[in-house]
Amino acid sequence: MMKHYGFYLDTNSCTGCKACQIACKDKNNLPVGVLWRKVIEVQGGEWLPRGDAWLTSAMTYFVSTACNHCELPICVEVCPTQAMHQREDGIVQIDPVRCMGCRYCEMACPYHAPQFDPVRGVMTKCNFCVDLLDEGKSPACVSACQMRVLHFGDLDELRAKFGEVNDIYPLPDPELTRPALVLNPHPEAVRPDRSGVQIGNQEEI
Amino acid sequence: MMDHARGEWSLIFFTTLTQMAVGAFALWGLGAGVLPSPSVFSTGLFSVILLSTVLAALFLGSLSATTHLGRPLGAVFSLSNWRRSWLSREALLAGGFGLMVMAALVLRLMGTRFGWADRLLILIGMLAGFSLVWGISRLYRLRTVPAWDNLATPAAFFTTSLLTGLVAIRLIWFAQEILEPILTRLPMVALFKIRSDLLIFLLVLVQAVFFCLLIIYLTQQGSAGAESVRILWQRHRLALILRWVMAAVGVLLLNLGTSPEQHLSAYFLLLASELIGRFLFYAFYQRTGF
Repeated sequence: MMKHYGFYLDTNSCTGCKACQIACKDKNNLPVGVLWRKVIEVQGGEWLPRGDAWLTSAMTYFVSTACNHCELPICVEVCPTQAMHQREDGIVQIDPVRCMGCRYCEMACPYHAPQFDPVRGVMTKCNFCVDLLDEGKSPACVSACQMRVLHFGDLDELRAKFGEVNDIYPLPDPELTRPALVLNPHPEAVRPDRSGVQIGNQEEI
Repeated sequence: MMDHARGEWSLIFFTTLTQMAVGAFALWGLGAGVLPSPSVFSTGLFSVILLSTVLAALFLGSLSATTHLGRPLGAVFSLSNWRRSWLSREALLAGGFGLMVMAALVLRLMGTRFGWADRLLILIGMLAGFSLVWGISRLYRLRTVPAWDNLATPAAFFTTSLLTGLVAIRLIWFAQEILEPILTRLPMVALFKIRSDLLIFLLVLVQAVFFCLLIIYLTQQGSAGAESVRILWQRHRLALILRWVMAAVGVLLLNLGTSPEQHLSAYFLLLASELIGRFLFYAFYQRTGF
């Protein structure tokens, strides 16, 4: 079966250092305001009085997310010029020559992956560092991860090794686009319709 | 998070102008095609002005859409994904509709007797136009955007198309009455006015009903739906109230007003209300996810 590249993230051990985010930004020379990989901080919990003492359920975890090179990429489906296209190995790329910057893919993607470059007037996004892959190297984000919680590989192999979880808050319902993503969920990770949990760095992402 | 509507005025004008063009052509075509020829719909200055207005609205709308693009040169490829992308199909349908309108206008300018060729063009043009409005509504029915992915979207687009089209016809007629008072004495004109007043009232009512149903629907669509409602009420409450007040006052003035000035005010109130409504459509956009 043809390989489909995907990411694995261990949110149980991710410290939110953002080395992956910075490595991506540096490697791709991204302008201010464009983030191909984002580290989302999820926080929640509360302090509860127990007699004279206080108990806490405060928690936080981090989700490092980029383009998930989905199995059902809605961006490819909606792109009128076919600038957004998917390779046989599952990597979704943008052809800047064909892109007209209509931002339809940006409206559609639930992961906020395609981002508009106001200087060039075209959409841009994570391309899985295909140039590095061609040299037999890892994507910049994976290489930069200090905690070794971010991995990549064939999606079927990742699922066989780490399981099939790809659905924790604040990620959207995976059935929408079937992201090529496997997660080791943090114990506190909850579904998005549970109260008391929020994104702590909304302005940053 | 940036207010989505602020960057979308080009699309607000594109969708509203295009839908107005379709509505005006369809309603004119209905009158011209159904009434025995010749009639004030099918011959004379009125039909030429109306068809020219439809073409101008379509052209200005398309021009507005082009300003939305970050790299307009890439638009040469915009038809290439017609098999899957509703945006590609929209471009094709807009082109097809525009050609039909142009052909109808040429026939009217040639002064030929209104006949089967006109009726055929009107029929194909109406089909192309309604397909265009349907295509635009499908374009926005993204499965990742609960606020748009529901029946309220095509309902809003079709009612806007008919309402603004009707107002456009009334405005052109109003302008012509100033130039040709004889038109006001024709009994058919009075009948058209009465029936179109009622139709405008019904269209606004349909819009109000669908809006209420949409709010109820969104409260059951998880965090994205709830966020859409919150955006509408917390950030755009004034615009929301203004939109419905203007629509209501416009309908009242049209149906109860007696002076031409009151009717003219009604037309502009209704058009402004539709523009605000379209602004709010883009404003309450919220993607599933983060």
